[in-house]
Amino acid sequence: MEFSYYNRAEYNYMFGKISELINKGNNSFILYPCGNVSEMARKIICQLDGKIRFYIDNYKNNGRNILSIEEAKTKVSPNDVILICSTNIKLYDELRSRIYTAFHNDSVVDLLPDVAIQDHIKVSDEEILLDIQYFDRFLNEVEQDGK
Amino acid sequence: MENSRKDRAGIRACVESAMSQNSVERINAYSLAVYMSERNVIIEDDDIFAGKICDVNVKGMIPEFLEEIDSLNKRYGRTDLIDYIIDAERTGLFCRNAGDHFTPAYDELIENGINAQINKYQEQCKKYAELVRTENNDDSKRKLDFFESELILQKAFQDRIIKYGQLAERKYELTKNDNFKMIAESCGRIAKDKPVHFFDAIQLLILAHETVVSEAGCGSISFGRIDVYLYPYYRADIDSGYITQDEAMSYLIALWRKIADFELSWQNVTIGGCDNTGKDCSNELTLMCMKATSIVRGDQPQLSLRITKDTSDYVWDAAIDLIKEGMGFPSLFNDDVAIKAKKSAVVSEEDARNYCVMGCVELCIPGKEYAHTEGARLNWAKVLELVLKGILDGHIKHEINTFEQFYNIYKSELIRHTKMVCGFLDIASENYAKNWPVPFASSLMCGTYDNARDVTDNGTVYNNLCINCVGFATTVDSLQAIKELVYERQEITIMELCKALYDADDSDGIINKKMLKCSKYGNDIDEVDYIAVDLSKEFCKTLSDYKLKYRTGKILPGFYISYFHADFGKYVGNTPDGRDDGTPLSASLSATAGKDTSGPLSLFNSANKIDMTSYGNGMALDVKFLPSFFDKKENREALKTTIKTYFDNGGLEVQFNVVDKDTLIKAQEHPELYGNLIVRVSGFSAHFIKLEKNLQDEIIRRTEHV
Repeated sequence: MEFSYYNRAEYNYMFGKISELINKGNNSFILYPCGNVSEMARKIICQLDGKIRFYIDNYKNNGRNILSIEEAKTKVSPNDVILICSTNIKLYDELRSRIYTAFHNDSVVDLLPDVAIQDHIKVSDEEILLDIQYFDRFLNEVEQDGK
Repeated sequence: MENSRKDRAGIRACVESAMSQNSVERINAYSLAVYMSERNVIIEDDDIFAGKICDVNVKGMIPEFLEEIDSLNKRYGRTDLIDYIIDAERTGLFCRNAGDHFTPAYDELIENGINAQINKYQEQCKKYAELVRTENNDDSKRKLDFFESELILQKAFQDRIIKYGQLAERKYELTKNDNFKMIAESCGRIAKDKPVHFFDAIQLLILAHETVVSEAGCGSISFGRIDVYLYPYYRADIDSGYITQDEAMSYLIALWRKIADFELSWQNVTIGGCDNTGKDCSNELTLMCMKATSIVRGDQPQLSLRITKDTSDYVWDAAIDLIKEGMGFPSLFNDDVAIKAKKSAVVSEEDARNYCVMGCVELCIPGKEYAHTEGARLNWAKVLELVLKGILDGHIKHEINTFEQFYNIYKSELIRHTKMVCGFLDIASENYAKNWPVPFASSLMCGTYDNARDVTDNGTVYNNLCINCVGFATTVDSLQAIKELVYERQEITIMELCKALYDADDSDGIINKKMLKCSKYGNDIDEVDYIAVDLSKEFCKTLSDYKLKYRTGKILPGFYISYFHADFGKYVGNTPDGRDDGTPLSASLSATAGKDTSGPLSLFNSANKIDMTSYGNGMALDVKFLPSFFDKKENREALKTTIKTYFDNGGLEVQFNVVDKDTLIKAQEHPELYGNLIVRVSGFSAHFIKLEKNLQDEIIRRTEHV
């Protein structure tokens, strides 16, 4: 239900991947789970004339268009592609293992397998620590000046 | 994640680990400062200004709902209230998108410059560093922490502007392109001092906005009254001959393009309206902003025009011309009612006169109000469904022999749910402040410096909260249908109605046809409109009377839906107004799509019966016209008169779609040909082909006025 951020790199990546699926004739999608990324995926699928059959969510399912994994098992047809739409770092493995356990691997596509696909910022721990020192030094200079 | 490849969230995790003994505020400040230091500065070859609003990644910085709930559970333990809210969110009764959604004091930043910011924080850091050394009390430590967090971000911001300037200088040396020279010179000026020229003011605005968005995310952070605070720079440059009007226009267009690059966001620009003495202060920039929207044809910025009694014919005509173009811009706001609405939220007269529009249609005091304006949406139609299902399954055992009895049950349930959400918002806002402070945004909000508090922590002048109603007309029409069919004409019993709605006992659709034929809101029918008036009043009173424990402000009602009428609609089964299971609910304060069949005057008359002077978080009323309506000059004049009358009679806002059904259907069939078709969804405009199909269908169903 929330739509709190938008990231162009992810959007472009997802757009490419969904376009590829549709061009191959797969245009019936099930989105998992229901959240920010599935909202982005939904917009792309609508734009590309694909069809969303329903959502799967482990937590907020309503028995109609948002189903639990158990409910979805009986509704998924061979033509459906289940898209994993999550970049949640905390739930990264758990989310994926649940869906791969329940469904055949061929019918599941991970839209964002690499959590950190943003390529406009690449920074190492060492650089971060140097930055912290830089700002610490700045504060020290300010406060020493006040003595 | 790999050591060598850190994104925004990765940087925060690393800073948190390195500074584990520090406050969240300080960790957030350092994380953002590192991010700003490390993120590349990019100036494209065709850029007129430096800065990229579009490329900012804030993942991990803004809590998702479940993250907030986890944090609340840790803080308060599992309470009935938290259980209630989890269930409400899961079942589509409630949703939340906290944080963000405010308008920084860009006007003050531009007026004073960065150095003034740095100097004032340096003074406080020196003062409290000394106090910590000599007294070492908790209050001094907390304040030192706050001021140091603010200061390093001012420093990081200044460094970033310098970097942009250096890059522009290098690009100029390579290309001899004068644009780069201008950027280099401007960045050189604004990194040290306040803006001198119109160009400088816009450049600082873009870079400040880029940074605020980097920290607080989403994209509903808005620009406020651009035509007011940029005007002195524009006027001075034009009068001195430093720039021509065409150059000024090209700068505005470039600003608009920067804003438009941030897709799927709701960045609002407010133009027109009165000054702090109540006098209309529209100017040339007001007109130029409308022209920029017409030229750029993006769905950003969301353009809002404030209308006063003295709004000139020039501004009116430009507004009608732009409305005719069919992008849903500008949405029109009535100063008289909007100012009263802000005053009802205990805003001073002077500040209320300076209101701006934020995000979709939220009324906001720029630089002085932080209200989590999307902090709660309550699905009124779901409340009705719960009541009806309660009757069906026997949970509601009251005797219901009259419509008044039924209506009172609904109202008491609506009030009960509203109060539960109020209670949640209060504790959630306290928890939010403790866990997700935004120190850079705080530096751009009045009051935070004097209070030495983050803007999320009651730091600014107006620390309100908001609850927005979704499904207004669906609920009103449904209650009216129950009144007519069950209690007046007695054609079916309430139990038969419930079975028809939820147990598929209406397979032949006879009851549904009867429901559809009942009177609907938006047609100037007093009987239906009374329900609308009464429910709105009860809701607003419930919020106004609610005593917050943590938050210092009030809870403000909003009657706009963004796209949540479609999302919430998925969670609501058939409704007694004849709406089908899972389809979108009605939008904002508008009539149900296609049910306002008596013409726009009747729609306005229905809306005018509702007291909007307490809608502190705004409202939206959608009206759709056929493009051919605008062909005749007399129609354009008639529209202007109609809007004026609607405003004179208490209307707060109105927005228009000017598009015919055939075009929309063709766009659905051939989206590749209609990439530029922008429509008003409700509260905001968006590219039609990017909308979900059921939302597209809802817009197609809306009544076309001719």
